[in-house]
Amino acid sequence: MANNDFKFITREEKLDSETTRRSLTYWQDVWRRLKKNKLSMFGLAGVIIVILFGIFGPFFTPYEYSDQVLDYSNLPPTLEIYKLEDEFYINVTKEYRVLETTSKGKLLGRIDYVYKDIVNKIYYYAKSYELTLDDGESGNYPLGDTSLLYGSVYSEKWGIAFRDFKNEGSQDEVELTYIHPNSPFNDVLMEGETFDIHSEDLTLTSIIFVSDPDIVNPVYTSLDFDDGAQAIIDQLEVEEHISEVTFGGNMIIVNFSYKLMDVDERPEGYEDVQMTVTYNNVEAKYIHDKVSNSTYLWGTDMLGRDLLTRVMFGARISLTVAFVATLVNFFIGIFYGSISGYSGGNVDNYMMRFVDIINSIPLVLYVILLMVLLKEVVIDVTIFGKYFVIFKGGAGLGTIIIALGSIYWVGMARLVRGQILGLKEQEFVLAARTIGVSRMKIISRHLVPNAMGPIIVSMTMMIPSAVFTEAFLSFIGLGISAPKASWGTLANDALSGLTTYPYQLFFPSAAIAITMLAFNFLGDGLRDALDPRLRKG
Amino acid sequence: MKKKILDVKNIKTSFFTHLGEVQAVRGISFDLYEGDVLGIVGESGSGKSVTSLTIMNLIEEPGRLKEGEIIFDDIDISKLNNREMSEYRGNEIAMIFQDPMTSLNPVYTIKNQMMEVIRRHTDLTKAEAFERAKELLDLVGIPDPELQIHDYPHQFSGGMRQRALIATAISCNPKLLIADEPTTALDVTIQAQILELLKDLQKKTNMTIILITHDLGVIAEVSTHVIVMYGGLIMEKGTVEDIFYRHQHPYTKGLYRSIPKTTKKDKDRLIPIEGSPPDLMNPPTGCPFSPRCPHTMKICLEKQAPLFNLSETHTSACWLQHMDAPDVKGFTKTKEAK
Amino acid sequence: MDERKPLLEVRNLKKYFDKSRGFFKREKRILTAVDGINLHIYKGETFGLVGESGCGKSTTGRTIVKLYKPTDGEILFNGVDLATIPEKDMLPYRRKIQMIFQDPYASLNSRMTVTDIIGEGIDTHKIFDDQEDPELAKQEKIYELLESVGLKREHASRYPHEFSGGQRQRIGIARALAVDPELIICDEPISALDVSIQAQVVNMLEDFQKERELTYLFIAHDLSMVKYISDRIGVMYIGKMMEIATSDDLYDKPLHPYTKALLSSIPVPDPNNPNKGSRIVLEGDVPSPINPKEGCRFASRCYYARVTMAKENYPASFSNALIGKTSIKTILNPESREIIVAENQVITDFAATLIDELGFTEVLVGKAKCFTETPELVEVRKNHYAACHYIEEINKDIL
Repeated sequence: MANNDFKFITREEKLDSETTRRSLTYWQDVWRRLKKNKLSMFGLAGVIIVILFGIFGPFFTPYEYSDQVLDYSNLPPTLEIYKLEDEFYINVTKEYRVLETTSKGKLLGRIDYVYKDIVNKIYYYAKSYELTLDDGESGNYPLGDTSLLYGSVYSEKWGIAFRDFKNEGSQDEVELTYIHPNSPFNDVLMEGETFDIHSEDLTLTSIIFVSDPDIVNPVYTSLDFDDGAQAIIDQLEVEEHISEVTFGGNMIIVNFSYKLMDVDERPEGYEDVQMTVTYNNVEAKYIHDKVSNSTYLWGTDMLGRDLLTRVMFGARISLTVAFVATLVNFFIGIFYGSISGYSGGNVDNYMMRFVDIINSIPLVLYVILLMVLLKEVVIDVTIFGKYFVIFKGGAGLGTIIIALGSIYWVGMARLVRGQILGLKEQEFVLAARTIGVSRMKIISRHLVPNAMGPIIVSMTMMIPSAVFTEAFLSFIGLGISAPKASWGTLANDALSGLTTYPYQLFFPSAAIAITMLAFNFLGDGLRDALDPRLRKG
Repeated sequence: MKKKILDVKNIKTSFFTHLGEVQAVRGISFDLYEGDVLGIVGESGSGKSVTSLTIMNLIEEPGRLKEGEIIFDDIDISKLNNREMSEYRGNEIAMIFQDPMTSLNPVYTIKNQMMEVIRRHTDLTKAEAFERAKELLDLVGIPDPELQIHDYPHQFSGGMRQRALIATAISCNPKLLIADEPTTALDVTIQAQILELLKDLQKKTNMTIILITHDLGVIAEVSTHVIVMYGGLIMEKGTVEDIFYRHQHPYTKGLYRSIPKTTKKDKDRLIPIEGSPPDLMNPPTGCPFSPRCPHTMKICLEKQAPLFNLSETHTSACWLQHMDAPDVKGFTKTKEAK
Repeated sequence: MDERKPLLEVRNLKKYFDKSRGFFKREKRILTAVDGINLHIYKGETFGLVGESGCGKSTTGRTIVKLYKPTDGEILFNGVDLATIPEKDMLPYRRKIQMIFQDPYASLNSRMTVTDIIGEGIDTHKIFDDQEDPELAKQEKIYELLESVGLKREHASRYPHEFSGGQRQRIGIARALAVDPELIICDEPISALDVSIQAQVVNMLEDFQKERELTYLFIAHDLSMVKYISDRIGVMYIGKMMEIATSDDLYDKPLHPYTKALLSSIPVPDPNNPNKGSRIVLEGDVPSPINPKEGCRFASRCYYARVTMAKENYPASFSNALIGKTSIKTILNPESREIIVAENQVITDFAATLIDELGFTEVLVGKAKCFTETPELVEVRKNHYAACHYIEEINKDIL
């Protein structure tokens, strides 16, 4: 050992023991703890995704939340397609509408009914029909295009087609009815027979050429003939006689009679067949493919509105309600709670009893009362010539925000009060008081910043609760009104078709569930991260 | 020859936190003979409490005993698992803690808590255990144990709770009692009661005690042997007279100088130890006390001093004791301990 | 009385807290934290206030700075009664009286930087508002304060959690000094610190006292440190002042039985301390300050006030005694079934049977006055005050 080792060293040479410790600030430490908690990071990611989904999602869809396409109502997100020929695919909906699609699931259009054999459960569809008139003129017309048949035509083979004169004068509303000889009308209407189309009871609106199948049944039950029938058919002045209407080769025949049979009743080879699709005399027993609906990714609702777009808009509404309500709570709660807590004594006592009273009113009752109260209230402004409605009473966004905002602060006020009560005896607050710092400054600079941890946790937990309450109120019909939709109203709309179209409930309720879980996970993680008892480790 | 109760060999305990390894105990060794009262004195962060928890095998995540052996009754208890260790805890080795309120379960009566411990470690019947519990409460000076034993902890005052805890701790006649700051939370008049009680019990039962405290007065009052810890290491070790009258380590000297002497008439200015205790995250490479020491040498910053034998009972870990070191008044040079 | 004029004089100060329970506070429970204490502190001196936890010493300090509204009494600061000054007019006095707190962790707001913490008083009292650049002046003052408490300029922008306990306590001292106070109330400023750090802080407080002519009210339970730092010391017990004397006088010749017990309880860092065996160990615990009984607060633990007699021997000891039935009402501690009878009272056969029938296990022979009359603080010797009825009897050898 060198002697040199035992030389005294000067003070300056020593390590400076007065250096401060390197450590993290409060929020850095919270962030570090939060990062360690996997579940809460999932939550945070979920929250960010849901927010982005709501804010930016609608920019990426071509639809508005209110765009209706009735032909495409109740479409699921996954389409079962039948291949009829190359590049010709169809999907048969649950309501036996036939939609033409691509092999990738893109919707191309609807193929109308030609005829429904309801008794045998065989429906006929065609994209177009070929019409040959008596004078030999013929043409190929898309189904549903009735302009050619303006007036009345008669065909030996296909029966009569006539115009509904009920809406005389308005060309737009002309509906044409074609009675097929094989149609159920044959029971009542023989060839050559006439009937009074002026009859009030005659609601012959649609059998063929008109898309909606549901009106088939009432048609002939309400048919009523009277004596003046013959004369009237003369008045029809049959202009043209159709000699032939051909659907022939390109008719799509959907036979779903198998569906109604027990499996062992089905003919041989059809034991596992639900329905068959015949096109060009080729019968397809099975679906060609299941493809996702690339036109409406999450399907459509009962009015043919894009569900994805509606859920995105729903996110906007639900999150707006949640954030605005929470923000309102935050300010009212902190203001009220900190004054109550810091004042203490009787002031605190009375303020807290008031809180108890508010807390004892059931939320639903409160919302209904508010709706009645605010029914007539409309607050609007015109800025730069543009008209904005800031608030509109009745069932809707504004009322829900006001209801949640004016009820939920109670919890926040209690929390803040509790925190302040604990903090105000802390020595740093006493120190500020001995210095002479004013009340408001003590609250704003010393108390509230130190109570921020639990407040933030409570806010994070309050957001899902507000989302849920809003959904609940909308679900029971007290919330957002159509055509706007929050997740709650979406779920409500889906309820009627739950067994047939479960996806309509799935997407909004999944959105609610994910949002609630994400915020709760995040809130849990934050609570752990902010908990002073756990901070030492 | 007194029987050796405990032999602690070079234990190192660390806590692995997010910021890095906190080396709470960095290699300490000592042995303990039957009937000794060993006082471990040190400031907060010196590792004295962690030492006691390590002996009790009570170090929890993220802490870990990195190396070393703790031989108790010829068995290395540091290697025992929790179940095996629970045979020792409360039975062979008992511990009392600083805060008597948190050491007692508030929802059970004193009777329940004492009887649970007694019946776990002995085969006494319920009635016998109850009798024993009452005896013990009487022994630790709780008035009217017949009535008080049915009370809940909150009905006891701080001093009474500490007495009840001591009663529980000695219920199975442990060979070793570890008392971790048993009087810190108590008022000075109550502290006097508890110290008297501990001394009294020690005399009666010839129990071996490890007393951990930051108060030199308490140490002087009760202990027979003293270890002075700093920065997770032993600075000085000896009998109570060695440490109080013949202290050789600059830290012990500094500590002694920085407390006011009530017995002294005139008011000498206190001589504080400069600076702050070391950061155990990055402990100094050499002697942990070197940044605050008035006699720092070059070697102090580089290497921790070994223990130097000052007498049969007295060792000190300071380079000033080294034969080659310069002469400083008040420091004796001697040979290294084996 | 000293001819110096006291800077602070507290007269009959009371602070009660209402801890009543039940519906409409039916069960009256008054916590008499401070129950009529008198003290005076001269300019430039250090007055130590000691006592066990719950004795009201901290409450006294906090009431003096009006953190609590006094229930009764006067707080004369430079002749002005602070007790009557409403909160809104307190600001000028707040600058004169400052406080240093016990817990170095809780006494600094962890969300504020050191600059903000120390500068808060400067801002509140607009100390540099007449300067050209108040912000710069404030910053300079903060640097100066930091350096004077042994910290560095660059620490100004740090947060409290980056400092050790001792460093934090020094920031707390800097905060108190920032407004140039005359009186500083030190509420256990060193209790939470390590032994080696305590001396640093104590020395620093002494230096500032000399430099700035500060007056300290030093509250602590560590008697040896109080003795070291104080010129005079007051000993409190459950809201009452028991004894006031100069520190040497108090330590050398304590007069009050409580002070004697307190001093002898201090563990002395000397294994061969000659007094080691002769310690006075008080029995029992500090009684609750809620609804305290009449008489001397210390009477229930006082070894002069009472002597316990076992059941078997009390008739013999009191053979010539006579006691009125009424005296049995003075039951002390009904749970432990003890009664107290005055030494000069005598037990009749009737009373003895009654005692037996009531199932009392012990009879305490007490000095009745201790249990019925509250002793006043009187000047027993020059500058030495004590509150005990039998002070002369007890201290025959000293007085």
